[in-house]
Amino acid sequence: MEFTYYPGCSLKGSAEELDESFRSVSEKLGVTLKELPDWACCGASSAHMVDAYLETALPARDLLTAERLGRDVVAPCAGCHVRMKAASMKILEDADLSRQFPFKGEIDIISGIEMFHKQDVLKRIKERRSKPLDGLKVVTYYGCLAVRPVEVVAPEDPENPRQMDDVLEALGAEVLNWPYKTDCCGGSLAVTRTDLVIKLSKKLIDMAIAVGADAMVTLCPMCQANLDTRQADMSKLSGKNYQMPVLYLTELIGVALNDSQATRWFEKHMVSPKNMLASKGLI
Amino acid sequence: MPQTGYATSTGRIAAPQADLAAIINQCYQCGKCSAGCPVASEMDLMPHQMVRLAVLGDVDRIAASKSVWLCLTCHTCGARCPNGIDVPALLDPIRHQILRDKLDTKGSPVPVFHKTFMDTIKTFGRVYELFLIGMYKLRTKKYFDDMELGMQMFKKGKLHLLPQKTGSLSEVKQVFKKSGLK
Repeated sequence: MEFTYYPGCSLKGSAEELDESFRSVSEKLGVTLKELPDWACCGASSAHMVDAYLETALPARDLLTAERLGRDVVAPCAGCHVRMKAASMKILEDADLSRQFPFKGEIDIISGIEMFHKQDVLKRIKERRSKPLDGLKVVTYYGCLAVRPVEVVAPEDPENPRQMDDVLEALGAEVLNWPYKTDCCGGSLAVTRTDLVIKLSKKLIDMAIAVGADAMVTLCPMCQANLDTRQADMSKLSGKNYQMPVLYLTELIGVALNDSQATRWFEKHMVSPKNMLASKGLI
Repeated sequence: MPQTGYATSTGRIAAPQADLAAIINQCYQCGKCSAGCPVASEMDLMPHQMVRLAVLGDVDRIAASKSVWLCLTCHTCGARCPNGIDVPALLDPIRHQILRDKLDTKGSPVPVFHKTFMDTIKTFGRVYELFLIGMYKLRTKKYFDDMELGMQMFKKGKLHLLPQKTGSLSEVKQVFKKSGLK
């Protein structure tokens, strides 16, 4: 199995542990990733806010390169995945855009979650896990862009997605029921309205605590950043001590595959998951 | 009301284009969008009210609201609307015109951030977090916000000193030249 890999800016910046864990566990699962050459930013949560042309033209360049290479693209970041897929759809339905950007739609753009949920990959996860996540209770946090806009992502169930749950169950973790799988963390207001981000993210973490989760699991770098970096503010505001680890799905796949790099990824977290994982005998 | 059945704008902000208007005209004001909106409690105009104003052609009121820059583009409204109306799809063209025509954004830091983000992409082709945050702070004079968090992220190696550029920067600059963003 081989994909063109579009890491995107977050994975080369504040979410390096997602890039490293994604590549490492893909290799262990026999999935070959070839980075898209000379990729540029997809426009993220900003391009569509400021200009209709940029929203499509920025991902279009990379879509054309990817189509020349012929392999399906995997974009681990939920935001990049939505922007690239939305641009590909716009080009295919707009004659003027498709003249400018002759993308034919011969390749698929899939999310990181979709990649690990492919039947072959799930099967290999079950076969190759050497350290099942026994006793680990998690909630899955998909966030917005793993399921929405629904016409772009086309999720099986936008209110109760199951793909990450299936992967984590294959790893041996206990996936808890909770109501906020797809509620917004404050996402794009991360820098501009931190007050709102703290409020929305705190609601999520409070619920994860209430249902008894050891950790929250996501695959969106924006969600992870908001939930992980804002816990110090939450502690200050509430007088409680917030210490909820927020892990990438790929980091837990790494733990279960006994990836020796795993502890290095955890160094990057503001709330370290190390003590919690050590107490379960997982690292 | 105009005979076409579609609203025409009564002010300087353009009414939604025909294909979008055909969708938003289906709104029967059930309010499900506002019930699920994570920032509805902060809004001066709630999502269902913005849709109604757009149907009536009073787009200027949407443009003058705080809500137009509060919308997170989380698409919860669009996922739940029984008529398939996605409020961010209504707001994006309005936001574009506000910026293009340099209309009043009521001191909201949100458009400043998004423009700074795009300036970063125009300069480097990829996000360079230190440049983005630095420029944003200069432009909003919010010099001391999140200083402590910034330091900690730097220590954890989450912020990089040097930018990474794309090999196709000249192509990215071409894309910007063709855009409406100046």
